[in-house]
Amino acid sequence: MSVYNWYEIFNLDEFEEEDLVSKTYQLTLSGIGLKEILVTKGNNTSIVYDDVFLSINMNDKNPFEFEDHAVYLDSENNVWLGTPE
Amino acid sequence: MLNGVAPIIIFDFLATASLDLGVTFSKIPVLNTIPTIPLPSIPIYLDEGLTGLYVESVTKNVDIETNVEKNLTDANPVIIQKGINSLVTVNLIANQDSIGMIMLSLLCDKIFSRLLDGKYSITYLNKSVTLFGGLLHSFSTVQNSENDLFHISLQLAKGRVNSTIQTAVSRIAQPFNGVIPGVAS
Repeated sequence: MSVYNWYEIFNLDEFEEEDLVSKTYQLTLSGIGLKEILVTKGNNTSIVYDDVFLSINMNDKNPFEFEDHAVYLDSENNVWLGTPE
Repeated sequence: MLNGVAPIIIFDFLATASLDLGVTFSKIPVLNTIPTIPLPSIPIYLDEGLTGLYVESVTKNVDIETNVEKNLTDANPVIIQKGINSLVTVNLIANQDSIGMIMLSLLCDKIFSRLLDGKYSITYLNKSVTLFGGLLHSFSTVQNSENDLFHISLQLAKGRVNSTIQTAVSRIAQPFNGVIPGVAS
């Protein structure tokens, strides 16, 4: 498993309480710059970062890794984005 | 005017449903979750002959803030646009004894007392300028000493939109380096 720079993006419980289909989070990722992260709800809740689509807890893999990026759901249902070191 | 007799402004108010529906009705999900009930709409024709109001001019203004952010890692800048407002300004002339002027003034006062709950909406139809579900932005009247005419300025803002898509407020996120967050590498 790779080592990532993890950024806390949002809380899954709060997102689901809002009853939205999708929500765009604008975050200034320290060391990277201002980024937009799209959170969208389907069968799984997923995030899109830099054109990489990451499904949270996909196939019971937590963190779920794809194309040098990862998404992680912690015990408090906070969703973290992992970017390459 | 939208193929009608005259330009029209329609005020809609909602009342909070405080009816005791009883045990039986309260178990029906749809009935139980309706928080407000609509009151009959109040139309005012903006016509000299009908209400004594004359539309002098109408302007529509859309104001958007555009920020261009350059990332450290990207060649292409990120462009973020935020809507400031979308306003329709209606300038009217009315006689002192105009019934339309009195109604308009009273309804705007009524809206002022209901700003917090926001249970109202305004629809405006005049030729190509249409606004559905708008909000009152400002209302002012000016009277000259030279004549008995009122000059009314009414500004309406585009109303709230119930969307399933939302953009969160920007914030700064600090990184945590490791295999998973909370466990250092």
